[in-house]
Amino acid sequence: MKDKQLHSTSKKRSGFRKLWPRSTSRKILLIILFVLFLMSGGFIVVSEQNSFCNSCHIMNPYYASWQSSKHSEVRCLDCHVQPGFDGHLQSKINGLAQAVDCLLDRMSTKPNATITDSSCLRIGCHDENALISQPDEFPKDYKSRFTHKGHINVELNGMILSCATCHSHFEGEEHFNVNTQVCYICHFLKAEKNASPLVETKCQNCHDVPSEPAKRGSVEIDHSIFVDNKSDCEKCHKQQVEIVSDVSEAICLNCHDFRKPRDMVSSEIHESHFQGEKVECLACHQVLKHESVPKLNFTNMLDSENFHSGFSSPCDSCHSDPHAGQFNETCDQCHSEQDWKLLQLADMHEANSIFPLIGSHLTVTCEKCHNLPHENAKLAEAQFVDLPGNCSDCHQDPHSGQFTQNCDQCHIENGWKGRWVNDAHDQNAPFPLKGKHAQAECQLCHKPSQPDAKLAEAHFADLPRNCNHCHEDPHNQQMQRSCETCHTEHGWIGSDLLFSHNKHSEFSLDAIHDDLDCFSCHSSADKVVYRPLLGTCSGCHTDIDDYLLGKSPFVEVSPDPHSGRVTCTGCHMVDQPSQSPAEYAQRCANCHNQHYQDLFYDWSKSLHNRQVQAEKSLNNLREKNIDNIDDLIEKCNLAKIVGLHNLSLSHQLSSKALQDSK
Amino acid sequence: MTKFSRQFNNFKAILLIIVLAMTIVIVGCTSFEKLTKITEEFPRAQECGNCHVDIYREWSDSPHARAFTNPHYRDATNEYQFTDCLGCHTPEPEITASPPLPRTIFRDEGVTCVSCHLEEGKLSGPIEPTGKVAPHPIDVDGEQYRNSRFCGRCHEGTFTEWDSVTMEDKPTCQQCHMPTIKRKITQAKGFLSKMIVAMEEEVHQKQHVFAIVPDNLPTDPFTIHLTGNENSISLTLHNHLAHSLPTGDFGVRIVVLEVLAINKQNEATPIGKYELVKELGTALAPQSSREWLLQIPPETKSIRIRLFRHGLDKTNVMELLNTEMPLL
Repeated sequence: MKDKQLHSTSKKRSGFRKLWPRSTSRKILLIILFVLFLMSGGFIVVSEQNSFCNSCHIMNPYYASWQSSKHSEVRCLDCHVQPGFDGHLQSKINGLAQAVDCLLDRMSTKPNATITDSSCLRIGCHDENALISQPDEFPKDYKSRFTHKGHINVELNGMILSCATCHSHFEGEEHFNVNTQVCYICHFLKAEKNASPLVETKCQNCHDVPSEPAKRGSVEIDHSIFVDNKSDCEKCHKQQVEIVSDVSEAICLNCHDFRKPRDMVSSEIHESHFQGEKVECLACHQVLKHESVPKLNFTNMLDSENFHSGFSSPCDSCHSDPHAGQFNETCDQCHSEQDWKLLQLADMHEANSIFPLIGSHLTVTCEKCHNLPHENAKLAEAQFVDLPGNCSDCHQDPHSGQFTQNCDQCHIENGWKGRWVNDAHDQNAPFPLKGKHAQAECQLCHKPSQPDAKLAEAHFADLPRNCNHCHEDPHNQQMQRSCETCHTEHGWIGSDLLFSHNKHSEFSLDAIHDDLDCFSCHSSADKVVYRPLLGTCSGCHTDIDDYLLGKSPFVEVSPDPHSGRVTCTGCHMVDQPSQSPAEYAQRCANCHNQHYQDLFYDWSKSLHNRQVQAEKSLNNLREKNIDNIDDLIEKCNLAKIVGLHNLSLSHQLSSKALQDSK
Repeated sequence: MTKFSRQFNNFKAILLIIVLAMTIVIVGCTSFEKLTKITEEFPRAQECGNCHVDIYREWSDSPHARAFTNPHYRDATNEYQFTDCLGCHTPEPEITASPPLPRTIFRDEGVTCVSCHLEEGKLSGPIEPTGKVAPHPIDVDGEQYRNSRFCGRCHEGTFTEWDSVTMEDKPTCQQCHMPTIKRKITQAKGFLSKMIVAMEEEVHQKQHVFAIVPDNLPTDPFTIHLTGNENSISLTLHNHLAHSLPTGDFGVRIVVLEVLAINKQNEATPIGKYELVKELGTALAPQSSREWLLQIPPETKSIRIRLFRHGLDKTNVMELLNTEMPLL
């Protein structure tokens, strides 16, 4: 606007001379003209002030960006008006025309201005030769190299590049700086997919190869190797270039209220918009992106199958040896190009090492054996070569040196615990586990020193093998034979018991004793007694022995004549479970004479009768709450038990009970 | 009798005799008739003893008199509950029955007079009548009463032993257990009876003592024979009896052989004690011997051998032999 006003002022001034009158009022007119002349002169001075340009409100953003730009010391007109009178005049006319447009409200909201190369290259400003010969200093973060050579006075597809072609952007703080987007339009924009861009561009046209090795993890990358190997930069550096070139018709409508003529080709549009009226490239073309993927991903680089194809350099050209020269082999003996870490270590361990990985060694982390030299070290720095390979080099001996054998005598690599393949308890071992022992928990015999200690710390070597080392003797040392005489490892009791009373004890179980409960003989005062037990009848039947001797809790009589003279088996048959009265009678007769058969019956009957009598009397007494009734009943019952073992005693007992009841 | 007639050979005397004789006959015929009747009222031993005084006294102290009343029998039959035993412990007067039948009355007399001597209305015995008058019918059967079989009706086992023994001059039961004595059959207590008894002749007859261990046997029933040296001896006991030692079918009879070593200070040390029991098979068979080997303690001077018998009651001991023999 300001610019246009400047132009219009210069137009008024040139018309004044043509309209100069010759009448008397010439003086007045002359005075008026003179005043106007003075005013014009003043306006020229005013209108060429930078602040005048900003007097129009739409200029505010451009003015602000100019103020903060490097050209803030340069007046607006110095650039926007061509050098020389013609340029100056033309600017005045343009300014006037703009003033008219403004008055007629024909102003576009989009201001448009151009700067000719002559403005830039004017004496005292930029020198073309100097620009071409001098390399440009770019800000460091540009990471690219640029030279004006090749960009000045160059024709591209009918378009002649000017300074303003690149130094085009003038919004915000970018006033007059180069927007690299403009570079990309020529260097990368393609008319169609797979077509060539306007300018064939290679990475190294702009980017230098880094002279310092780049560090990526453990790998130092010396880019000179890639250059020597003529490797494509894009193998590593994925560039991201959007190459959409289509300019939609909608963009035209941003400026024009008409449609683009259909037959208008690219060159015609560029001629009018580029060569004629300078329109910024990005006004029509969309923003392009040419930038590195934000973070260079090493893994992605390696994903490329052919990354190393064509490489002839040894690995250590790029890769420092993390193993510190431990290996004589080439890297590819172990590592593949697919991945450095996902090595098939098992196979490698199998093929190349003296220590094939089997079983649990397959799942253990490498660091367990290949100790890291310090806390933050990487696995590759660990020792790999000349490891001794003994179990004890990695494993502590949990058995505290109990065993002189090698570990592999008992343990295999498939697992340490549980039932081992090389079982120390196998069938040929000194203590093979059979029967219940096979199911028993190890700790039952191999007792840990402390309750929460591990099994391995328990006592294993030279453990006594006798039963009582682990088992408490439930018989309280009453047995004289060894445990295995009667017990097997398949079970202790029931059908597994080997014990046979007739075979292992000194007392054969005859027909009388065969069905007896064990505790009938083997219990005394709530204790189980096996020894000492007399194998004689009186060993158990002590009461009968007493009766034979005439002793009882109530009365004492003389010993029965059989006592001490006739053994129990003299009367009692042990070869049959029960003995009939006739058989007892016959037994009497065997020693005495036939009359004793009758005597036996006589005695049996008479004792029974007396017993019945006594019981009857006692039953009658029972209802009368007699004090010593229990005593009498006990006597009566005892008489029944004594029976023929001592006729005198049983007689006395039942008679006494009978008498007392009366 | 002939002396008597010589001393009173006059009329008065003859008249007196006739009167007395008639009196005796009258009294005898009336008062002793019941003795021979087999009714419920058997003659009691006391009644027999009125005349047979000596025999009655002997019997009264004999085991036969105590056959029923002795406490061992009472205990052994559980207060007389068993009828099987009664036949021998209270036999009826029927000699021919074997074993005898039990009496139903005055059982407390055990084996009483009539048990052996009343048969078919007569009082029977082995000796011919010695008196001038017989107050009761008499039957004489010497063979029966002198035979061991007569005893063997009850003493079955002992008789069997005796019967099976072959020996020279084998004594019968009666020969040893009923010693012979020469005396009158009856003894007088009153005036009249004295006169009648006075007419009897003394005869050899059997004492009714029935001694378990008879005295005055003609030969030693047991002899001991010792051989050996001062360290050990062999002791042999000979049983010269015609039955075993001990013998008997019922009750408890135990013979003990006790051997004691006597040293120079006359101190006795038991060195052997052995029981002989028939039921246990350890009884010494008739006419047999048994040998025991014994260790002799040092300084033994002699050996004392005791042989004694006891029953259930050990305090009632009958000594059979007690001799001291010098060590060879």
